[in-house]
Amino acid sequence: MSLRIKGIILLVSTASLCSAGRTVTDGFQSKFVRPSVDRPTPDPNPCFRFFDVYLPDEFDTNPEMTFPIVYHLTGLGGTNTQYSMCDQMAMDEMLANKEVVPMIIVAPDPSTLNYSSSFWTDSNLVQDPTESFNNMFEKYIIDELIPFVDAKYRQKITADGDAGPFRALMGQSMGGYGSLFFGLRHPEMFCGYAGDSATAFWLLNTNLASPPEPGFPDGNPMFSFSKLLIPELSNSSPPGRLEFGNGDITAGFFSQAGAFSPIVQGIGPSNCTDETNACLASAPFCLAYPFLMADPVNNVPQIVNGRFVVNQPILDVWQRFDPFVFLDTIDPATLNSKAIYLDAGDDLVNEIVDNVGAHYFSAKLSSMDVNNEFLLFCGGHTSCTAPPMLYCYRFTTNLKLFSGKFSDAGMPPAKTVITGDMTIELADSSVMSITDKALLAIETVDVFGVSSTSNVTFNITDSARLEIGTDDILGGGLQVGNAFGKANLIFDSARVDDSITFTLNINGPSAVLQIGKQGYLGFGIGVIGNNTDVANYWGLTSLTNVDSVVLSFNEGRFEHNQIASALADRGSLLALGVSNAYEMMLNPESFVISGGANLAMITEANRIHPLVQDTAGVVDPGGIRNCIVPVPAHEFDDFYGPPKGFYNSETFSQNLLTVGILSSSLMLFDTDKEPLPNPATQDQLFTFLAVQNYFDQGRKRAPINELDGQLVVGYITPETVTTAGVTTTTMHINRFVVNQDDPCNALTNPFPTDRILEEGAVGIALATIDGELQVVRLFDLNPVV
Amino acid sequence: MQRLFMRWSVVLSVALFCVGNAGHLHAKVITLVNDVVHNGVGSPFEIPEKVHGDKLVITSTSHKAVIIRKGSTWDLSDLSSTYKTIEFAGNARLVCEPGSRLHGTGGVLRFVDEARFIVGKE
Repeated sequence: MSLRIKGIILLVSTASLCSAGRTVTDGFQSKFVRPSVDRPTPDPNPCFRFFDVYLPDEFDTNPEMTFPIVYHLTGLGGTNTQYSMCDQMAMDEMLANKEVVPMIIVAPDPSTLNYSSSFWTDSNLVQDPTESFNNMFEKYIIDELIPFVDAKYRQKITADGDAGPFRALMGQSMGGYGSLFFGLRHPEMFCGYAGDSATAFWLLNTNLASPPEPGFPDGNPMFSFSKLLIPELSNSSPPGRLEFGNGDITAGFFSQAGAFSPIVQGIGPSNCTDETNACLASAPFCLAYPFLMADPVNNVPQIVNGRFVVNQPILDVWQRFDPFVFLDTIDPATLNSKAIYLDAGDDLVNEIVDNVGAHYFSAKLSSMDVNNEFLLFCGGHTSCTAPPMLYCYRFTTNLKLFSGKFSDAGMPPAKTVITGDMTIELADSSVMSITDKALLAIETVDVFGVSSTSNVTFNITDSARLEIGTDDILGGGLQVGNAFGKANLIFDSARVDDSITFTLNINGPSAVLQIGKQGYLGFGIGVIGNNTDVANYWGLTSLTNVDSVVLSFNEGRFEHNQIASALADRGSLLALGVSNAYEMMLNPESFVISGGANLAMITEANRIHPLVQDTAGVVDPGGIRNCIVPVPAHEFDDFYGPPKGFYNSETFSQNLLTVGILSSSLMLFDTDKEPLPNPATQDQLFTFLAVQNYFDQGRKRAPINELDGQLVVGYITPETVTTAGVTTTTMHINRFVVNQDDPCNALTNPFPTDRILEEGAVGIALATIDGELQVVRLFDLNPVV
Repeated sequence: MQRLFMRWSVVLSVALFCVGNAGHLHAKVITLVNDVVHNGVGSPFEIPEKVHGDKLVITSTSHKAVIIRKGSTWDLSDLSSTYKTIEFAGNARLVCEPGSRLHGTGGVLRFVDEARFIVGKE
């Protein structure tokens, strides 16, 4: 496609001294949309529709480099500049922390002349009869902006010339709607769609979720409109008129009507006199509404028994724009190749429609067996979207998710799977290596409606080695458990009976199990999103169907000597998740557990988004990740009745948490210790591997109990005192409460990493949430390198 | 010397030379002189009958590999009824690329000598 569009970079904004990237405002004259309403100073061209672009440092320093591009669509009333500053700050920080790959962010301008915002669709509405411009925003984005950006900003493509695997969409509210709208209508063009509090769900799904009413046993098709618009009618003058200024909901409604159901047969109020449509009094055009009007001339809707009356033909038109409906037309396999993310706040006042909408949208995807992430956080419609809330900037979630997807583009699926019954024996000097970000999963055969079992045994004898990551080749993971969530289990109830047993026998004079640099070994906890460049950034989730894990260490060594934060190359993880039984047998005379590194016990967790993982080496106490709180099921049910679909209320009661760190200089078995029960529980095994061994090294451990309901940091500092020529060293245990009262307000009590390290702490321990989830984090001042 | 039959899920223009009974009393032995690439579902090795015991040995002196490609499954259940153990010996390698699968019904996959089982790309 050849476009002769004249573009220009206008200005450099929001560059900071320490940031790597920069943001520019760019624009061109569009054939499909009128010039931007908000104009920059200086204004380079009165005909331009503008957009903002974040460019990572590599864009300037490496002219040959191409980039994935994320389109950040703004919400109602926003323009191209709304998120520029935050996007740049967030990207610079994440790039500095190696949390994302270099990517470009493009923020278009959806504003319209007379009805606020476009809702990103093509509308035949002519805003200004003196101009020839229409409001064809879909054509503008798809046919003009993207080709323009592709060419000018070096869009990355595959070897086949396909840019789709390197292009994604995100946005909040109306922007989230646009993200899903474009993503589902043009699935070949994008590899990911993120809808943050997406206003995609006014119609079908939200209304289906309405409480049963007489005449509407399957939901009231006017539920959302009636609930949200009618209260604002009292704000008009005289009351009862549907006017733009009635309130935010009404303003959004007019934008949707302008986008979805404009009256195009003529211009002006004289054409808007029947009960099927009405006029926006302040604009020279007419809009059709999905409910009937009692007085169309004065814009007064019909209200019967407190509800609007359905205008079915127009409601049908609106539903053509509903992403929930689009899902019925798309092959699930196509969607499964996408990174799909939804979030919503638990505020049941200003977020209620989008909360329920995201819930139902996610449930529908799950019912189609389409992978997706749905995060319910504590907050409202606009939480974590603007300064000074950058620490919990919501869009970083999307960017991290997309980064993983971009890294995956063009690559094969990243998981090797073992199913069924099998014994793998390593003898002599043989080696099994899982490195270079490879992931081996022990799972059951996935056949819909059929239960299956897997019994897998690893025997390591003689001088054989099982290496999960090495000193030379980073990454690699071994996990036991099925990697599908509860929604899948509910959908395919037969899979509940799947069973996995895993046995690991180490029995040889020089037999070794090694978790090396960035290695991961998880039982009942597994990796999702394992396609980032750094294995330590892999997201974790609960796995299912693990019936037993047997670890028999008779002779040999378990080397797990990567003592480092998760940010460092040396970081690694052993994670113990949910299983019916752990059985660990260890011969203290002939088996050595050496080193010590990252260890986490994770009780039941819902699907954990990469956002939730601890990737930075410090627990970020703020941010949306720690805003995750359970929503009492009764609140949800009382309002809507039991949710339909395959998610049930329990989904909302899951706590999410992730990894912790244990490090010690040497963990040797102590024969004086009480033997581990057989079979050991998850907690006993965790304690055995972690706390006791550390304690036995002559160091004290920080308290991790008695901490219900709080995130508490305990850390130990040594103090040396010389009295009368005698020097003694004592250990002081310090405690620090993070986010004691407000889990969303991290700024009041940030995690005191620097302070702890400055004070020479030898150990840090965390406990959080409900006493069941414990994270231990111990830094070793003399790490094994 | 008994010639083995191969199913041509072995692709990418590699040559496979199969030599049987090379000194193992109760084993069938395949010596790899080139990589064997398995692209599909099933087994890259088809053994017509159980003659030499319950073990199939795959060996190499030059680090040659049996490679299970992305999207492919090595169905070990095909072999387990005849040969309970498949043994990689010498410097032979089994490479299971990302996206591949091993499925078994009770057999043993054994690695001895300097053999390697590589999960990922070689």
